Amino acid sequence: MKKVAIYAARRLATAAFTVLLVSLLIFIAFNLVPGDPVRLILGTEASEERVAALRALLGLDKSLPMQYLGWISGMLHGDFGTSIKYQRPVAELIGQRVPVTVTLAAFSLVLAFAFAIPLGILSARKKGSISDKAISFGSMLSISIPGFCLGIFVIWLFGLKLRLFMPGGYVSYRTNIPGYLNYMLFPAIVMALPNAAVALNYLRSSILEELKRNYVKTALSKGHTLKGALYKHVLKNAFVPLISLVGMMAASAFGGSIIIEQVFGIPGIGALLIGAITSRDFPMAQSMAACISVIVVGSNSAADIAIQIIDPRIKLYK
Amino acid sequence: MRPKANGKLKVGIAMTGFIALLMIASFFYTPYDPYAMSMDLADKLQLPSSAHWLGTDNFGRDILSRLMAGIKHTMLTAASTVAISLAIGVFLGFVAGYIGKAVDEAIMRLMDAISAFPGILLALVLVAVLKQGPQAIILALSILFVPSFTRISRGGLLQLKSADFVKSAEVFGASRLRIIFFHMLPNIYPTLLSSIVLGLSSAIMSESSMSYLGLGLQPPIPSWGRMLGEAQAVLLIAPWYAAVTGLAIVFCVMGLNLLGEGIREMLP
Repeated sequence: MKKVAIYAARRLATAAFTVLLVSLLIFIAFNLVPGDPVRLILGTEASEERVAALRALLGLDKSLPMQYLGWISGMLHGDFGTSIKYQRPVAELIGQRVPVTVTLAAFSLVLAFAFAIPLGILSARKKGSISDKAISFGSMLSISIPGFCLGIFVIWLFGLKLRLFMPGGYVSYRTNIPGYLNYMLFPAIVMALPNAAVALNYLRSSILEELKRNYVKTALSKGHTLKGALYKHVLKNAFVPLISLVGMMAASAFGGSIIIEQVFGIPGIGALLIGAITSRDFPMAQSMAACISVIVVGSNSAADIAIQIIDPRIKLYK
Repeated sequence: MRPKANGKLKVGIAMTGFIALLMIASFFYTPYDPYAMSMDLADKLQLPSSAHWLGTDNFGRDILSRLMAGIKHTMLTAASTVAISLAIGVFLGFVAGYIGKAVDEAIMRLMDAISAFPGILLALVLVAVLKQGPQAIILALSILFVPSFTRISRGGLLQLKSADFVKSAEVFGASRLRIIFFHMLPNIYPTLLSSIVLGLSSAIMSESSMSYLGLGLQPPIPSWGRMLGEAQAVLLIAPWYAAVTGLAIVFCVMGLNLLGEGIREMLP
């Protein structure tokens, strides 16, 4: 157990370092803006006083390193700055939308495994059969369709033709929870499919790898059927590498939700970020980018630590 | 011994070849002017017919012509992206692998930081701070793809460092650069090739997603992603517009994916 604790501490330190590096990169990117950001926001016609006032408000009158430190220490204290567009604290705006994006990401992860696990087991058991080939074609197809393409197809098929939901008619979780879940189901399916394809291929090759091991031979010679050995022994081991995938999938679900929210007209974090970018609301865009990367790095490290607790034999780091 | 071509490779070559032919053809011939709009209501959103094989869009433009003309913009963006990230990635990978120690650690941690970022987020940040247009997209996507090329070339170099033919070249007094470019690179090349092709397909996906969001290639350039965005607005009255545009994107991406996978499966 002590080893795991040391590992976890080291992993968290790496994660903290990565987050710091990423925040620095984000800060540099937003301060590389050609031209004066204040002029960009207010337009060239604005009076000198207004420019000076906004400059002071954004803290742009300080030196760059001080601005960076100010931004970081503010973030650590929960002060994410103020949105120019909404004139409200960024933390509050993000907070309102977090539940929506988290529902979408979690929903899609659950669906991804619900698709991947049975299909992965099936294609490994029936390796080389028609169903294996069909599954492999399907997974190839689902990683070749950009999310927004699939989203539009789902809107057309399930929304316009089958009328299972009302495209563009987002239902808030505050007013109607069943309606909300019903609306979220379809974007979640769209986000789940590429992740399911990756997980499925992973599981399939992991099962096939395990089936070659000696303990399977032992189980078979003791009189187990292949099916029995598979469900009793093999799956337990084959699932372990899948856990490290959860972190990656959570990260890609958060990234994917940025586009899918736009396709389905869902007011989540992604929609907020794109709004911030198109309206040149830099303080908000900068803090949001940092927040999203913290979530992504965090879920990756959490998955690495979890896998270490479950199976301490695995060496992820030297 | 030459490895045998596999099914994925053949289908991938056929699909990619078809797209390439259409692209080349579009330089000389498109059925209609892809930019010519029509004010006449009767010309807008026509169903596919013998005059307009894939119908017309909401501005009365011929969809087939626009799809054909769009290939070169998409391909140009994707190819520049991959070329830039390949050059930077291979350079960084070789530097990291050859010098090792602190330099290696610094480069690889930076690559980890870049890959920890969701791709679309990095692209959005860069598009936000740069002027919108092809340059921003190309820069953003190139940064995203650098880590994979860096890892491949660093890994390849480390693996080959102790290979007999490298040692014998060293004994013969070959310079470091000569060893890297004439002895190591040709051995890493097949792995790189498959990543280049897969990189092209993911660049096309990212570019069309960004264009769909209105943050990529700007109108009137016929970009597939933007066309699909326009098609979504008229999905109820003209579903074939979205269908053919979406199929074009999927066909192109899938062709490249199959080609890349096919090359990878051919590797020993």
